[in-house]
Amino acid sequence: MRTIRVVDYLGTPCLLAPEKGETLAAELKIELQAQNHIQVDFSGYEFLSSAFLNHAFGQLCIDLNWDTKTFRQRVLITNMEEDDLEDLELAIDNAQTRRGLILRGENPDQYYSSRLPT
Amino acid sequence: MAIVIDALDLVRNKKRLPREAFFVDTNILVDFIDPFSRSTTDPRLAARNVELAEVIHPLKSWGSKSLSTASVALEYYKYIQVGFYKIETGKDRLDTEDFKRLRDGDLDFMTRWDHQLKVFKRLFSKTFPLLDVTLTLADVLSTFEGSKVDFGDHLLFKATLASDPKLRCVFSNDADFYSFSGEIYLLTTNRRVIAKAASESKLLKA
Repeated sequence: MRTIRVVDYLGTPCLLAPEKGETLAAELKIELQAQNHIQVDFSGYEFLSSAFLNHAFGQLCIDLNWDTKTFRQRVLITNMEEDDLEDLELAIDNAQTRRGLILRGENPDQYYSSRLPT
Repeated sequence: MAIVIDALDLVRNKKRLPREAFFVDTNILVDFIDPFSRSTTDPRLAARNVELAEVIHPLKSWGSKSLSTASVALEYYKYIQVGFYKIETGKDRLDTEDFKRLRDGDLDFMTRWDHQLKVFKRLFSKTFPLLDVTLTLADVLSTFEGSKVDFGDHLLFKATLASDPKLRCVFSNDADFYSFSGEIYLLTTNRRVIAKAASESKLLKA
């Protein structure tokens, strides 16, 4: 199984910007075409944002049409703090809701805007 | 009137917070946690999320205590409960009986709600622990000007004032906090509040 060391790959221990998440997701997609499983190692990171998790992993589930089980089977997350793992769990849950909306032909942004205050 | 602190300027220039702690307002928590992952496709919310992470993580790692109050926890809980129900069911308003039925009997709903609750409990026990503050309820009600401010903001302001003077700092992007009269600091990323405070000599200088 190939391992991506996130801090080395992105060149920073501060995992905040959504663009960093997108960069990681793009690499994961390429790697997952060639192999079934990948390890994503977070050793050495300092800070993490929800936006980063949504763009790295939530969007990956949406783009590849993965359910939570498939994500867990194919992506092994290591060396992430427990609190951040809980936030990742939330990001994956929310991606499933978005997937469901897209499959029903709804626009997630419009759906959320009409139900949540900004 | 509060003394305003430009939160981004503070962390980017590694300045010291003039208090030992800050109390978070609900709007900060919602944008920082992003409980429904709206930052996935909304660049404005993503920018707010990153901005707050850029402030909160360093402040905590430099030793500032990050605190919350029961009124903020209640507001946040209602936000996730109502939002979660509306998103999951597609309904326009919360039906509490239906919520309880789904929470107790629908496996998908239960699992996802459980994850929200896990984050909720961690937030108010660990990330922003609740501080027990004794408020005089008669004073809280008699000083509440409902036509000017939201009751939740009033409660947070009163709780901050009732706490140890070393802790009197609120982190909020709600402009109402600027006009509260009392010796507190207002930590914010709200550019309009920062500009107004600068023009009125109420912006903290290093």
